[in-house]
Amino acid sequence: MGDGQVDKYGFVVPRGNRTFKEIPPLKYMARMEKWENMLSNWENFKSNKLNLLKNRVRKGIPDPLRSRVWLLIADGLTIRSSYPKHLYFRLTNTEEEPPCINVINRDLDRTFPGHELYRTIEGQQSLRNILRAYAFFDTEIGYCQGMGYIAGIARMYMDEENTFWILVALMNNYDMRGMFKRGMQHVYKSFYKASSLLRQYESGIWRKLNDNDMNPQVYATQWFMTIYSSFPIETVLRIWDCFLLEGPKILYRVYIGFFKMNKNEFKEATFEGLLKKIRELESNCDCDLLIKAAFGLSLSHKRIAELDREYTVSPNMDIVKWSLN
Amino acid sequence: MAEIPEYQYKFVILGNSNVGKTCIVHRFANEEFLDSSQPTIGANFISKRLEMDNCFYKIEVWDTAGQEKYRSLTPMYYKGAAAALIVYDISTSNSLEGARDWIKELHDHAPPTVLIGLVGNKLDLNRAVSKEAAGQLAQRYSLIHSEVSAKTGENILETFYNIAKKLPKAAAQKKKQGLKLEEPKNNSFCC
Repeated sequence: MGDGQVDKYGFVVPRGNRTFKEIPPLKYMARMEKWENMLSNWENFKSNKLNLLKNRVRKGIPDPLRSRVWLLIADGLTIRSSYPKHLYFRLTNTEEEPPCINVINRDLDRTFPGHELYRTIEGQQSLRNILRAYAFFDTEIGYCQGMGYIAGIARMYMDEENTFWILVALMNNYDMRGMFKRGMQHVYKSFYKASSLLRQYESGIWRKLNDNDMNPQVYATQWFMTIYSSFPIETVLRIWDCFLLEGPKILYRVYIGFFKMNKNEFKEATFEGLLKKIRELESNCDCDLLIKAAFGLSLSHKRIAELDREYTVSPNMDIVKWSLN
Repeated sequence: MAEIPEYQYKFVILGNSNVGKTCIVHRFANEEFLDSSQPTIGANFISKRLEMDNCFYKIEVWDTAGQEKYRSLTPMYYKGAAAALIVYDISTSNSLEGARDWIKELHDHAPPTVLIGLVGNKLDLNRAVSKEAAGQLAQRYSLIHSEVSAKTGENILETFYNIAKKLPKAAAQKKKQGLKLEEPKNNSFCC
């Protein structure tokens, strides 16, 4: 692909790989057919065949169906219909500005600047409308840097109003709100959980990172606050597919999976060497290998809940030394 | 031939969002302009080795997120720092106000030994903040003032050099990198 051309996912300046996964045409057609069938029997699949649905989503939602499926699995439409019909319209047409409007404005041309949509004034304006509406909708949060990336990804797949409702869903039903609240307690807690789990599942790499003070704090803030938006776009989308269906647990699965798939890559055991390596592996992270590693381990909701409690009641000091605010 | 001494210093870059912190750091480390920079979430780390006046200086830089909400995260970056650069945008008229908040934050919470630079970025754009106003602010709070352009590279290296030169040499032997956050236990020295 030459310069100036737009890739499959709308990027003029590529994020990560320039080549994407190709599914053989026959396999793709079969997959689309399964998905169409699933979509026409959605309620049945969601309530009675959840494991089948999970397996299919983990293989990747076919890109042309992504917007529809994301809205379904995140319950975006249900949330939308639980509020007054014209709420989004009213929020966007509010005359005064929210206190955080300057921060929003400053981020517009810096959010996915390589994507064709955000290279236009209309695209940036649309992102502004969504973030501004959210700031009115949830005045305690207003706008926090990071939310722009989340809205930015969703808006690549759906219209402005649905993006707003997906943002509302993510913030309120997927535990994202706590990440953006003053004090960012939830971010620290995620670091704690992630690190505890890494020690449990991949103790060798955990020790190596820990011995060099390479804490999640140094490299994973954007991973957790923006649902891995800093990864290559195809990988981001695959993570989002699973995250939207299965919830916040996916953040940790992906975290462990990332180190598991790369555990032999961390040869240079210095702070700087490790950080460089993490960034390099992040920007080339293969979606299939990551998903395989992330789901190749058994991680229960119970274990996550245990760690939640542990962090609040009696955190393990080996892990918490850096994660307490 | 005598061995050339090497000193290691930790710098932290602070300042409101979109003043160009990440671009300054990128220009310093890579000597090029970062064309499509994106908001920093959390912080980034880079290091660079400089040679000047027959010494090596290893400068480690923590680049931080600018939005006020992230301020609960920043103290851990400036706590162990030898120097802090507070960046403002000379093309935005009220940008010094933001810098003033950061000065206060550092004066209140950082160790008094941290050397503070006040850095006006975007010298390549039309000026909305006078050099005098920023100079006065710098003088009042005993900061080292400079004006730079991350875009053209003007004065970037010099700003880092000037501050590194003023840092005490005795306590700057090579140290372990990273963020040491816990209080030192059973240690009588102070870091």
